[in-house]
Amino acid sequence: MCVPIPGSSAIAISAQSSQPALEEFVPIAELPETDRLPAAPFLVAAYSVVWILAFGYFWLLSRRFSEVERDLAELKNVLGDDLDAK
Amino acid sequence: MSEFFRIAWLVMQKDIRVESRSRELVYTTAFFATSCVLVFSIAFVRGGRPIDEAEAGIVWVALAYTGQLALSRTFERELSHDALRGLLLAPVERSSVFVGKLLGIVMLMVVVEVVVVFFVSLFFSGTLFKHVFWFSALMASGTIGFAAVGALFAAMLARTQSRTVLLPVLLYPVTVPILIAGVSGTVALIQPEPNLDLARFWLALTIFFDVVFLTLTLWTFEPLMTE
Amino acid sequence: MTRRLFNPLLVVAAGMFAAAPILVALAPNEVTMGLVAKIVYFHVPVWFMMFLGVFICGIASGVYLFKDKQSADRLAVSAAELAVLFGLMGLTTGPLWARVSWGLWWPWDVRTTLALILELNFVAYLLLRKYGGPGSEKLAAGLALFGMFNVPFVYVSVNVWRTLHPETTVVPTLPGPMAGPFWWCVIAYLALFLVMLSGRRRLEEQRAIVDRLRLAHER
Repeated sequence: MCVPIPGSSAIAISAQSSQPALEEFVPIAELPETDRLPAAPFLVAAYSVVWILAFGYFWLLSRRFSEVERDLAELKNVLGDDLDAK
Repeated sequence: MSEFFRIAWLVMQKDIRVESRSRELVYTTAFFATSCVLVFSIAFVRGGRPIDEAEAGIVWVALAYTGQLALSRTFERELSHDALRGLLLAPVERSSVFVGKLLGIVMLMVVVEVVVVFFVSLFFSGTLFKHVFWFSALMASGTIGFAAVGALFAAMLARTQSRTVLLPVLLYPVTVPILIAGVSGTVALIQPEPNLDLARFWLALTIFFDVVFLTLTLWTFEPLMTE
Repeated sequence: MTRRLFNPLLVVAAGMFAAAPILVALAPNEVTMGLVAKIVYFHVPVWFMMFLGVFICGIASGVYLFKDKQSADRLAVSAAELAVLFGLMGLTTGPLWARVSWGLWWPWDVRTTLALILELNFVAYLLLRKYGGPGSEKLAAGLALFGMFNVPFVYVSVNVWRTLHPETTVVPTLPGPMAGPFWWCVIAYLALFLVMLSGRRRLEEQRAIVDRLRLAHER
């Protein structure tokens, strides 16, 4: 399986050549400035995606709820009229 | 138990007899498989030479597409004259009817596979035949797993609207693990130095899939077909 | 049960989510991947929730298929929607992390591929329910069962076949300062999942009532 490596950030290339797979995460107190900058936009993007999807779903749910409640109210009116007519 | 297999055998014989009269499915699916192989071969040949190990992928993709076609056509046949309801109303265990249909489909797919492997070997210089036994075992177990899941879904969808487009939508996500194992195993076998251990691992995984999926299909066939 | 717990759960989820970014920011940076490894704090919990949704859908579908309980079917469709939603979150955060750590948007290793397959499986479930016409609930339930049984293959594959993806031993070995925020996020996402699930189920119940009333009206 061929995997293309776009020639961009230093982190990407070094990380790819350093190890095949991580065994465990290791914390470090301070990280060199050069490593931080490219990562931040991705982290922010990832976090925003999660929030947008979560809020999007809640909005979708509330829209579907109002639809159902409208249907229910309409049906109750119609059925109420039927019962009155009898 | 023997009753179970007797019914399955009868259903399979019925399918073979129906098919042998028109030979429609065999001819059309074999031809479709050949065109599939042709299209993929064109896609994966560069400068007159094929891309490394492309034949492994081509065999299994051709199988997946042709298999899906054969499945939907097989069950579509049962719709005429309400034959499907007749099969379901028969006073026998339903899962034996299912196994009978499954055997018929496997036989059809084996015929198609012979055609596919022949043409792929022709176009790619016979590398598939280096380890015939392991390759055949891999193809056999992959076919059984694919056919089992496919037969269940095709039977379920036979009377559903949008069935032609829904069968591939349902079938492929579920059977991709079998295809991955099949392709990886085939690649391991056609290497210049074949990795038999790896091929055996993927074969074992495929057989494990087969056992799980076959059990699951037999278990769910009854409640799914009560509609 | 979920109805009474809905409000407290909502408060808990909101609270935990408010606190999460602070905890995540305070956690130490990982040595090889740096800042971007902080995506793990929501990438992995989101995948946990996706698996949870898949299992709930699978089991509820099994109950619906074999015991014919409508409430199980309602739970199944709600869980399937959530599985697709959280799967979508995982499939977008994953490539964002991969792009920075490994230089690729999509590493074609077995785990990511099979995770994608699982997502497709449950999108197919939703498509079947929407376009399959009458009687497609049972067929979809069968599909959900198959999807659920695929999950072990997804999770085991990374341990059996060496890939770029961090091995599954990573989570248990997370050291103290990182483990705390991680598990906080897992519980926060669990609370979110449960809130969404109970809301979605309530919607299904209301829809069932509307259908019943419509049928009664037509008679």
